[in-house]
Amino acid sequence: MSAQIPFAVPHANAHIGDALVRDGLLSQARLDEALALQARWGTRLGDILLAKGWVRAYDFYRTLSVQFELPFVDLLKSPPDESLFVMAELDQYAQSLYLPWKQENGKLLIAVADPSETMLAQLEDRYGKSVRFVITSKFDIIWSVQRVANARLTDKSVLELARLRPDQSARQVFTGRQIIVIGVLATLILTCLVLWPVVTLIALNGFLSVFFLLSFGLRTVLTWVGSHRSIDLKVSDAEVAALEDHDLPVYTILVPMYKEPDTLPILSSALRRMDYPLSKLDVKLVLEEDDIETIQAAKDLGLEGIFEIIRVPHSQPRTKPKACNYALNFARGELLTIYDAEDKPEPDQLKKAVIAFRKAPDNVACIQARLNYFNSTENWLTRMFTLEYSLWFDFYLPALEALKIPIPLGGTSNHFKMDVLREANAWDPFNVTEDADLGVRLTQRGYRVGVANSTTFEEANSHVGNWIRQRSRWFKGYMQTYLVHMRKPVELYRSLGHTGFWGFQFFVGGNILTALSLPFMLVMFAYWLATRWSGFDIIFPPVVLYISLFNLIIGNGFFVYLNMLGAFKRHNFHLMPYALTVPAYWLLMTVAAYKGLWQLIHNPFFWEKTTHGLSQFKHDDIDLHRQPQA
Amino acid sequence: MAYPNSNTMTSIYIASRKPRLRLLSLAVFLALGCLYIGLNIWLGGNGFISDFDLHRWSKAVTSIDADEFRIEHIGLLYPHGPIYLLAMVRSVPGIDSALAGAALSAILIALMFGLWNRHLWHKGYPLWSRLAMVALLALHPYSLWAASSGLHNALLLLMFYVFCYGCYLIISIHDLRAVVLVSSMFAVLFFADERTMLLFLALMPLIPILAPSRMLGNSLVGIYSILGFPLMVAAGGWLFLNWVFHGNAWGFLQSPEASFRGALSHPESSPWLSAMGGQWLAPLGWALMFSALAFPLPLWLAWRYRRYPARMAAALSLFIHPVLAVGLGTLIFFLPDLSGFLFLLVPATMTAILLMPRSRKINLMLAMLVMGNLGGWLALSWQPSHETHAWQGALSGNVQPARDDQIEMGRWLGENAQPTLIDDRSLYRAISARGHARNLILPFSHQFKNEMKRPQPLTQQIVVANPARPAAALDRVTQQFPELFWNGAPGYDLVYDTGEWRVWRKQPQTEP
Repeated sequence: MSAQIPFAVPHANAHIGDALVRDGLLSQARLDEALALQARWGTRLGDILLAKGWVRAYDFYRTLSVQFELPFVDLLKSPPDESLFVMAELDQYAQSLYLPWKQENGKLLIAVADPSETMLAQLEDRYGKSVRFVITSKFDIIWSVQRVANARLTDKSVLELARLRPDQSARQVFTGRQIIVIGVLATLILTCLVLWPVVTLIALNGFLSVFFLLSFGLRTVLTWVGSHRSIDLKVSDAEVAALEDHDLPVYTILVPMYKEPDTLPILSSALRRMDYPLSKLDVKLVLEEDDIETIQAAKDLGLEGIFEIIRVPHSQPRTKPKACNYALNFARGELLTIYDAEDKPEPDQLKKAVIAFRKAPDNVACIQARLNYFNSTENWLTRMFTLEYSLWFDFYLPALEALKIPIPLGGTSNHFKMDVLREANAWDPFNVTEDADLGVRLTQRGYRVGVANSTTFEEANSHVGNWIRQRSRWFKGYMQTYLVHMRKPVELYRSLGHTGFWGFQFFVGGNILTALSLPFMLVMFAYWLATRWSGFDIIFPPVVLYISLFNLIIGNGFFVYLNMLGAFKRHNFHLMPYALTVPAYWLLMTVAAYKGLWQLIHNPFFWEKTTHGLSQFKHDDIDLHRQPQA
Repeated sequence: MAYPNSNTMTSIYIASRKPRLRLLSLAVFLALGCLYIGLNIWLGGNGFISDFDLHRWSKAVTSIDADEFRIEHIGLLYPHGPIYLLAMVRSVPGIDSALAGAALSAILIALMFGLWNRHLWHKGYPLWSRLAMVALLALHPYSLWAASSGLHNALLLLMFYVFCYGCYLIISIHDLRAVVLVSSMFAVLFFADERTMLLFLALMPLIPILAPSRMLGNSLVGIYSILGFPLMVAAGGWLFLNWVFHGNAWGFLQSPEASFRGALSHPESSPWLSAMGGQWLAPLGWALMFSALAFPLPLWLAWRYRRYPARMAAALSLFIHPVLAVGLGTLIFFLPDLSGFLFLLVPATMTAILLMPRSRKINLMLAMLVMGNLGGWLALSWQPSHETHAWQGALSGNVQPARDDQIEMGRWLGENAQPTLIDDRSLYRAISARGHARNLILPFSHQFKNEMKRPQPLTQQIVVANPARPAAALDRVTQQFPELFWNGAPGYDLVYDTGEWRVWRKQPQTEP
């Protein structure tokens, strides 16, 4: 049977299948199928069997131990000697799946889940020839590392960035210098308002008008660049088809969840459907340790070996980035992506990301897939949300990429090179839009973010309250991101360059300022429309008036048009008329922006949880092939 | 059947010959620029200056020389695009002649042909055939007319070529950016030319033919929305501005002076409207006939390449588009003569050549263009408006008699640049000839408004019209002081008299 295997594998693997069949743990037919898959995927037989769930992990590792003539240990019953742990090597334990278990008769016993020749040789080099091995399951190793090193891993997840690069951490909301600058500016404006009220109001009005004009200019450029057809030709279907499975790297998928037991079966089936060798998937279900019901639901599902439950110990701040940082300690992939529990990525997305990385320059550290919604037709809010996302991901982000402006990453479906992600100290656990922050941070470090032509369909928020909670978090995170990166504006300017710096000001800063200033503008305009009060004339000298009128008519008209264009590009034609109602959506944004601002001051690290599963659209009913494509 | 030119061939060309192409396009641009500037100088020498250019130049001059720039000074009765362009030109030190508009027109048309030369190159046409086609179309009477009959025509021609090229991209490569380009073009065009709305209306029935079937199959309404929304925003914005500044959203369509009305306010002065105004089918038939006469090439290309139905339909649609606009424009008494829309067949022909596979029968194509040039003269001469007739006369070397004495008076006012009460609505030709608006007291100024409240004027110098002449109806100074033309005012001397206009000047103060 082994003669049929074209790829070099550890010698024991040729027999492990036979042993499992002999022991009645695996049928011959499945072994044959697994061997065929091995030929295609180029991974070890054991990984395939576990990934497919054809053999229980316990049975597999026991058989493996017999095959290698090594003892099998259950680390839950015989836990490792904690004193043998070298804390600086925790990452290696978690990622290479071994740990020092015990010291017996002067000899160190190492528990390994991967008894390959290479692995054993590496460990002998590290610990000496006298070292002895025992076999255990990878789940036991992960559990043991977590149990022994919880405090240290938690500390690392929370504080690593703040310690190594305090200037890039949002742990401190406002720096002393920023407080002084804000204080001085506020005092100056108030003083001027008292001494020269008209001139000051004209200056403020003029500043806002010019800012909006430039912001409009940037979006015009982004639309122009984003509408070019080459933007959509990043990875073709032919390239995906030409990809050889055995060339694919191991892919880690982080799925942070909280109190979402109902979405687990949907998620697992979505991931199983991915067009990627299952044995090369390293899926981490990142669950809070107090989320008993989701943990139990995951256990009850009896998921295959590719799914690992990472229990994140309780600590503050209780944020998604902290949970992801924690799970990152156990990630074994060469590439990594994040999906939310309710996500439905297009099946070939991982392959497209691999190809996009291969085609991209070396300094591309992240590929962002496009996000869109499967429940766009549910109600007005989901329609508006879909319009917004179509514009954001189908026009703006590819254009930002092309113009080398930092891309505020979307919350999910961003694909990273693992080594770069670790080098950048991963996500900032204090930033509630850690993804947007990471996008800017990567650009500052000389890396680039690309956008792939693959879509992940999510559930659009269909309830206003829930939407405002989610959006207020986004606004707060944008404010955090802006404050963090504007601590040293000159340094930011140097690292991002001219286009990147101003793009950041108008894209990130512009979103915040626009939402916060909208109510003032709107009230003023409505009052003027109702009364034609000439009192406003004084703060609208001709130039300011003309710029304001331009912004009002052309700027706003253009933004409505952009939303139509987004729907047009994604063939969501039924949504186009709804673009006319986008000003009402802007009002909601303003509410969320003020809520975010309030929280930034009073509760900066609070994670406003978005409740998923509110949609009336059933996930199982969603056919990705029938979703609109860009 | 494969197209004769392939992308591979083109890319090879691109790699090796792009700098040469740039140089050649620049040479085409410069040569045609010189040709058209020469044409304008010739016409100017024979007494023809576009009335449009004079009017908009006076607006540019008054807006630049006013104490502060205000949209209200310019008014909202005509699109602002050409005025802003001229104002920019006027800001350049040393440029103070209304001929700047003509020079700008020459540059714009030359630019269009320079672009077309590039696009022909991309299509794979060899040098000599490119140059021949560019030369023949550049010398087409409608091209010459557009380059010298007013900035609005040149601007519209260039922008219409961009629109046609956008359509070409939509049809040939289904490019979303081209959709954005085409739709935005109409919005921009609305601020540049009053004919835009008619052009869009004429386009509406053709959109299903022009749009690729893939787009059509998805949503026809979607295509109309995407193409029409920017124009709707522009038009809605214009209504809003009229309401904000003048309290009447529809003022730009109601005022007799509004260019948005076209010839509606004085249809009797147009032979074409006198004969065809208010009709639909007859003008359409005439327009079609003269289009075929002046531009036979697109029709021949459509017939020759009928095996490419989508491209054939698109070329015919672009050909029909200005013809439909003629029909609409005549129906509502907007269009003073055929040339107002038929000159847009120049870019339609250029695009038809791009749309179709590269023809091997270049000589036949050139012959068609020559025939079109001859037919063009015939079309241009058919019931021309007063302005077009004057243009033809000046082109043929007949010195045009001055239509009024405003220009002479303007020069005199320039030499006697004292504070002068004057209405720019009726005296824009004089202001253009004067060269600047300093020391002029114009209707938008507070001083003018104060003068209009007095029984007797106080300004140093006053220009009034003969109340018996039509010009007086537009002149607010004459309306306020109807006796001034004949009787003068106490303390004022008559210092200039054309018969139609008189200038009164305050007597010098004598020491008691």
